[in-house]
Amino acid sequence: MNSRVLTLLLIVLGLLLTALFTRNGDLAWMTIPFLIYLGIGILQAPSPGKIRLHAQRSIETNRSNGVSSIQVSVTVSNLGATIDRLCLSDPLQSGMHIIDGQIRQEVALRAGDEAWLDYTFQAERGSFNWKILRARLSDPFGLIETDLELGAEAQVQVHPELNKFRPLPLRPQRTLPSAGSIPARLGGSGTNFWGVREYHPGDPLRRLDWRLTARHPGKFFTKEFEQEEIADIGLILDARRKTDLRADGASLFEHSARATASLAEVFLRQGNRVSLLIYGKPIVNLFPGYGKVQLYQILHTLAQATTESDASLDSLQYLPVQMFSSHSLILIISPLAPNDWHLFPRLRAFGYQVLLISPDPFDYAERMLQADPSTRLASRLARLERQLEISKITQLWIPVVNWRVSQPLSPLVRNALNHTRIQREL
Amino acid sequence: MPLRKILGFLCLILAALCMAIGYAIIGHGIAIATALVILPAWLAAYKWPSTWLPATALVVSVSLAAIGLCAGASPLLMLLGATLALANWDLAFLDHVQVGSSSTQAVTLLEKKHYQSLVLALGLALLAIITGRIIRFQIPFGGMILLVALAFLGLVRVWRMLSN
Repeated sequence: MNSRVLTLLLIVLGLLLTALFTRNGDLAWMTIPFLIYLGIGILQAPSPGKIRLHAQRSIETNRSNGVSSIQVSVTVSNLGATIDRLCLSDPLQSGMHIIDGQIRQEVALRAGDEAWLDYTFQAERGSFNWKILRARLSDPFGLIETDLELGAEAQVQVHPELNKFRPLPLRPQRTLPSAGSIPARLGGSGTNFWGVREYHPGDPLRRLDWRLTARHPGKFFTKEFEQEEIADIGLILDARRKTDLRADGASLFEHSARATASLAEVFLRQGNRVSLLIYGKPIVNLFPGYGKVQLYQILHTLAQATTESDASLDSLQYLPVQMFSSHSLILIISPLAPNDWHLFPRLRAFGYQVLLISPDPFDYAERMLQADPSTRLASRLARLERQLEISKITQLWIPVVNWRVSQPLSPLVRNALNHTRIQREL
Repeated sequence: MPLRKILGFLCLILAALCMAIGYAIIGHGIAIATALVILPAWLAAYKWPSTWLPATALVVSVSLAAIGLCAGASPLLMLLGATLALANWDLAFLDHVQVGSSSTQAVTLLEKKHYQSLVLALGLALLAIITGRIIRFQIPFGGMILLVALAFLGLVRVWRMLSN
């Protein structure tokens, strides 16, 4: 029973009781319009046995990169008797912003007629699934309602926007024995000259160093070139609620997700092996892989990432880093929370090379903060605390990119890779 | 201006007029106050139809009509006022209908069906009230018991239908 029927019944009951108490027949007559209204509604209520509706959903694309408009169209056909009032509604999913059309509408449908629910939404990132379309049938007054769920499945993935970075100059301590673009500090079949050694049977003749051979009669020498291999890169994205900052419908996490996607794209384009760990609830782990398939899987995983958290994820200290092989270069994308620095000594102890990319939450939040002295003081203290946290990490010879999200990330990462310990260790 | 808005305002003014005239006839000075109470209540109900305002406006209107009847105002005017208040309540609900991208034909059909049913309900109600007030007859006690039993069974049936 809906609120409209309840209102009518209460009025009728109230009028009847008042008529009885006051012994006024006219008051009883006043119930007649309400009773007839209710009666006509009941008589015209849709009969569940005669309802036959079919819904079909179509979406212009099932995958989209970055912010784009996606049009959804649902067609409902009436294969049964005439419906006096039909309310169609689609659930509004988190992250969807309707920019055109409506997700709810009411129509009347004759037998054989069709109704459409068309709308266009915009999303920054996300995975959107539709299983059903909600249909509510009722009499013309909307008194007696029947709810139906019509099957209308569809799915669309909005991947985070990719910023195409130029190839980054990686010099990891260790590489994987597979042909790539990173100098491996090993003699082999590369392009850069590496050294000369004595000839071994099986060496190609075109690599013989004829000058040295001429100077040492009876001996042959072979030129060696520096082997070029690939790096094993692990990306860790901090998806804890406590490090996410939301303002004006935007979120700091979206910047982190976009940065992760862009870094994954450039590393995979360079031929490296990339894995991903999203530290949130649940912890999502994507095993190492190469190429476009891995890029698609990373984008797919990032599209579904949300910022959830609980007490067990309070600190980065319990991050399951063992999933990365010991020679991995680990990039952590995290705005950092107090006491998160405890993770970094552990990573260094395991022998990982680490780079921290930390989106600056204070710079992001600056426009939200009020200009009163106490807020300014609190902001200053928090900035100092963050600076302290970062300096503890840099003391471990870990390069830190303090990223103001309004700035382009690529030059900062390039700079960090060029002028830090990673470079100097080589 | 859509037809439902025109009808709504017409019903609103007529309902307020009926009540005000009814109160004015019996010499109560609250006639204008009545209209002043009803009009803003219904205007607010039309502005925010999805809230509890339409139901409140209906209850206020019916209460005023009932008080008028008890105070000796013209029963016909008060009954007409309450009936028009019901029409207002219904039209405010119709106003809330979302007109989407479906063909205007489907939306026009919805409005048409609604108006037809509303006219039928209100017409029948007014006819029943007028007939009831003109034709007066005595029902024997046995007949009355039979009618009460029928009404009770009817209510039980309605209740079951609503529950399902």
